[in-house]
Amino acid sequence: MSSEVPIDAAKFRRLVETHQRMVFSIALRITAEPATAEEVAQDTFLELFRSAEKLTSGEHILFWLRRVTVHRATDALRRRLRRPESAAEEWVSEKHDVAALPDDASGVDAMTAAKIHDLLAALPEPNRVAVVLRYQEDMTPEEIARLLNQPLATVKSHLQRGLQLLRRKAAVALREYIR
Amino acid sequence: MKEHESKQSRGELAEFEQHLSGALRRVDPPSGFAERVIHRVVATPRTPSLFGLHFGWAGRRAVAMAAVALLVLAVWTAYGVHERREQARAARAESQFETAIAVTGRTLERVRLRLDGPGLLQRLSSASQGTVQK
Repeated sequence: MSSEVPIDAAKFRRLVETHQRMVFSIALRITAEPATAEEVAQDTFLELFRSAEKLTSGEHILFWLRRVTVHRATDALRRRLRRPESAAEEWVSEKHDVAALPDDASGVDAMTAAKIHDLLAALPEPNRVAVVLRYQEDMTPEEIARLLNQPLATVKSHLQRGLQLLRRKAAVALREYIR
Repeated sequence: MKEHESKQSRGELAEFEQHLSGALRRVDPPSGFAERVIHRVVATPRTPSLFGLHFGWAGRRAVAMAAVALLVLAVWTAYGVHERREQARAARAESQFETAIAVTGRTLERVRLRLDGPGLLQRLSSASQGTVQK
């Protein structure tokens, strides 16, 4: 009957602590709303708890977490976009996001990071997902294609289009920060 | 000139990608996130198995076999019902055919009797003569 216990609590806690930044950040960048992102991240970990016995290695867990987070976040985004009051919520979430993004040592200040975060939120969903996985998770287009179960050419096209759109928007919004 | 422009454009793109990577770093979840997840895990009851019972590997196998047996029984019953319906339909069609054949036979018999009856040939020949005289 040992298979009835999916995973022990201590091991699960370690998994949550190891991957919470990744899961929450993917959810936040896709949904652009901290409350929804937390809900998505919690649901993802809950599903991990139930499915942990099927996951065979650390790499497998990482792959699974990224995939489930992306799917749950895009589902949440679609549900929100179908609601008429979504526009008002986006305005409120924008205020939260600026505060949620800390300064860092990578040469990009919090204000620029917050601006880019907002510009990202205006991208169409497939481009947004591809850009987040490429530039936040540092994944190659091949890895993204495998994760999303999409053809490589589609992923490359989403990435290229997403970058084009972001650059165009950034050229206007961040003239003083980015050339 | 074009090569120079393309190099510059590539350089700008690379710089923009650097900015993007810097801006899109992972962020911390709200404080207490891990605790909330653990709390939800503890609070959420496990999805009960069939009739609220938890089955081990052998139990799951038995349930799966019972399900397969039920499925086979259902298919077999459905097949039997279908067969009986088909047989009844065939019997109805056969009886209708026999009735039709009997009616046709009787009709043909009546026609034959009329053709064989006295006076018919005479009527036919007088009719044809009358047509020639006209």
